[in-house]
Amino acid sequence: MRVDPFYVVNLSNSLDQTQASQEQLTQELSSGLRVTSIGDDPVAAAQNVQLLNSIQQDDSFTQTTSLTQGLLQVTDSALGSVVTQLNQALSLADQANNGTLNASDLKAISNQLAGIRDEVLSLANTNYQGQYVFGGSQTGTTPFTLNNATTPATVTYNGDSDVNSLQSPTGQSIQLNLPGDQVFTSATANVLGTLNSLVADYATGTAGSGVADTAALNTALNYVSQQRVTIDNSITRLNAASGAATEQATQLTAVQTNLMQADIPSVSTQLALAQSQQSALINVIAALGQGSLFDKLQA
Amino acid sequence: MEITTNLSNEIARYLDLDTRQIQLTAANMANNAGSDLVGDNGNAGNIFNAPAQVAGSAAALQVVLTDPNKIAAAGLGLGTGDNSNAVVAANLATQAFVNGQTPSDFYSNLVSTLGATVSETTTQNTALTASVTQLQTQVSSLSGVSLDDEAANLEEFQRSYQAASQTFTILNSVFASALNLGVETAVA
Repeated sequence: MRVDPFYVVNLSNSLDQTQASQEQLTQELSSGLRVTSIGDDPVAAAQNVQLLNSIQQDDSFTQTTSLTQGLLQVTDSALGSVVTQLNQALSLADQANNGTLNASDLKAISNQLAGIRDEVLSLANTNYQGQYVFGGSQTGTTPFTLNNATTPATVTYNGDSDVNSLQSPTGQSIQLNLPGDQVFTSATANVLGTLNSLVADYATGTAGSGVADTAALNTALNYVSQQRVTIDNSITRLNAASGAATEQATQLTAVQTNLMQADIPSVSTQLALAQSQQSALINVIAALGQGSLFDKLQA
Repeated sequence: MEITTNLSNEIARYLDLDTRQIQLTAANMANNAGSDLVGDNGNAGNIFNAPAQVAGSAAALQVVLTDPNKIAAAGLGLGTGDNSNAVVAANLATQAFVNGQTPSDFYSNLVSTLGATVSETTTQNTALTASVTQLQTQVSSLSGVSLDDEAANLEEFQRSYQAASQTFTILNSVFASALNLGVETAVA
């Protein structure tokens, strides 16, 4: 069979191929990625989708935890202040109950207790970024309102008993809030109600039912401390879950890099090879392009 | 060709998004099952429009929610601080409701299937291109005009012509010699 006289077409096809291969290799080198199209490695591309999804979930959970940590810390510090205030109230009530104080002293203690009650009320109405912390799901309404018209004064709860929780990527549920009725106006340990009773007891200048109410206040104090443990647990669990999510994201990123990254030395070698092939082809084309036998005939 | 049909089916499946529509419907249902920031209770509205599912309807899919306050994060009837419905919506991610798979599994499978088709098509394309080039080379080798061949032929014909003309010259001198009876004359 005769040699194809139009060899230039073949040679330029080969030139196109080496050029395309060079472009592909250069792209891998510059991006550092082995898979630049899903057709390059379908399995790796599919695994990458799953990895990206998990990494994004972990990242978004880490962001959420930094927001909710603020909320939980505000809640915790509010409850800590409540405990401090209640301890003060207890020591005042103990003074009032020891039978050595006169009527005006008792009235003064009543006024101090009213101050503590107002402080606890304002702590119960704590808000974080404009959202009331102890209102259940009713975060836009002031949770507790005081009515001084009655004796003892009464406190009304305007929130509900809703409890929010945050789900970690591993599926554990972390409690984010304590509804106010559970902390401050519970039936078994009514913090604000007991304070109001004590204020009313000593306002008359006598101890009244101060002893019984002081005992109730002690119960309420213990109860608030217990409630605070729930929030402290949540903070600890949230920190642990956030750390775990960050660590998982780091590991997954490492796996992803391993899966997708180009082997630079190997790609460089291939690129050098493709370049040599190309320059060899160009030389062949240049040599073959130098005329035909007709040029020799003219002599 | 078979490969082209496979590919167009694959892309059509991708663009048709029948299954994706199920996902959007689920998201819409979730948004209509809670309370939003502007007081809607169970009627917060769709996040995505939901065109009737016919061939090509996916092209009309779009986000119709314009007010972020209309995202129903709270459970039905609960205050704005609740997040139970948001948790329900977030859990859609782990539920197998797209062709019996979770959305990310489904998408991952789609990528892998489409990638395999792309890879297969590329391989076939390379093989067929090589085959076409080879056949073109064969055709050209049979039908193409080679200047070297022509030059060689030309040279051959010129030599033949010269040889033939030389024969005539010799014959001419033979006849002239015969006519003049061996006497050298000026007449050829």
